[in-house]
Amino acid sequence: MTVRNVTYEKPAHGKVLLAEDDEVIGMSIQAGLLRREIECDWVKTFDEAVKALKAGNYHAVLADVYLSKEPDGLQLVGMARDMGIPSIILTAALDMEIAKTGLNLGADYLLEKPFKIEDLSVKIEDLWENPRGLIARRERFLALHQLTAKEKELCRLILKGLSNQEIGDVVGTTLGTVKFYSSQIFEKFQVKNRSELFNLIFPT
Amino acid sequence: MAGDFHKWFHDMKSCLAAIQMGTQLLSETENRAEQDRVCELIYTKVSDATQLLETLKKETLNDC
Repeated sequence: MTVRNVTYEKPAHGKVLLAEDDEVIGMSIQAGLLRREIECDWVKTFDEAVKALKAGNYHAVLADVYLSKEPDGLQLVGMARDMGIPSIILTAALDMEIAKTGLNLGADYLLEKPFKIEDLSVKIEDLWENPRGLIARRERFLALHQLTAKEKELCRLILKGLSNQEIGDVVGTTLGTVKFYSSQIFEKFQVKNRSELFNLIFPT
Repeated sequence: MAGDFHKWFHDMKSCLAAIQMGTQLLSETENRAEQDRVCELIYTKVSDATQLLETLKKETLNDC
């Protein structure tokens, strides 16, 4: 079995989801991040954010706490955590309760507005370079190796320890198709089998 | 006013944050049309902040 030391590299086009209802602040963050070559999808409501989060493929979520009168941005943090996506809370109304709730829900950072875009981009870079938790680490690897959505879906099942037949049953496809995708995945990761794949992502 | 002060403070802080971040954006923007758009948005936020100050002044006088 080959064990390789993997050096994290910054994705060529990292993408974040920004949920921010303020026009000026949203525009400032989006433009500032784009100037730093960080792609940024900007939505203004909780519902839009949920929709984008489910549909998109994001490296991080930037959530304003109050997207309406309720602190619904914090719910996004919980959703992102469940999907293995790191998050940063943005708020002008910083108080201990918000900080505690947000961090307990899995936020990685909390930034008080106003802040410098440079400070935000440094934190986003840190989230990419140092993924926290197993899910974040797995997702980081999938993003780095540019797997397609289908390959990612199967790779997650492989890493859960499912056999080819079990994967076929779960996704509703033939054994041959699963084997085809598995070999594509192994090729992208430059490993020979699932043991090497597992050891590459979660080295012991 | 006491009960609403927390909301007032939050609204004012949001306005000031937007003005500061908008100004930051303005300093990084070279495109004239974008500059005009950002200036317009900052001006709106300044008006909002002024309005909030007026509200506070009026409410404070009422309390006296």
